[in-house]
Amino acid sequence: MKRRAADLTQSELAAAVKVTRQTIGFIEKGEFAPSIALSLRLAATLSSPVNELFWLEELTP
Amino acid sequence: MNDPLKLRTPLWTLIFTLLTYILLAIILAQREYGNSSILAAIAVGFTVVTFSLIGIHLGAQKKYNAKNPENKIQFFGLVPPELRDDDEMTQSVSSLATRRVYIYLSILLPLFALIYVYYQPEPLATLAMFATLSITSILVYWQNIKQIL
Repeated sequence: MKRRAADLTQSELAAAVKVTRQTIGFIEKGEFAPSIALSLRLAATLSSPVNELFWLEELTP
Repeated sequence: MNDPLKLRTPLWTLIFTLLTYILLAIILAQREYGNSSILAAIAVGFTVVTFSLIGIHLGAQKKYNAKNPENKIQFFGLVPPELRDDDEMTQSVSSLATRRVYIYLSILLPLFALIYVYYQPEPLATLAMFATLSITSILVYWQNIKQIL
């Protein structure tokens, strides 16, 4: 998981992208689809392209 | 978020809504049946319970606000503290819950109006209908935001 690879806790990542820790938990469990803006903030914080963080199963080869 | 007394859940809205309807029921009962010692005892008990709960709430609120200065709760605020908009996820859950309450009320309100027109219930029964609507709509909202509490 990218967050763990970046050595960040859910709380640290949440603070960095200005959401609650709960929201990070829901995103990681796949129970909440973040907005484009939040996805881009997560990607920037984790130094990772957005499509490595989020993808659609049906579009995955 | 430290919230041992559940200030950011619909619990306190539910309690204060219930208290409001009990107060109205006491006033109505007094108007309908006149003063009685039982009613007076109920009124005294109600006043003690209400002021105790307001005291507990204000105390807990003071503590909560000291620990969460960026996210304060106001006792007389128009927006209830359980209407969560901390970030986009809580906003999304909160919006969905509000939508369900809207659907619930849009069905139940005309139904209750129909019952009122057909049966012309007593004032206390009419008040009970309003109380049921208010309390169940809070419960519908609560049920739908449970996941983010």
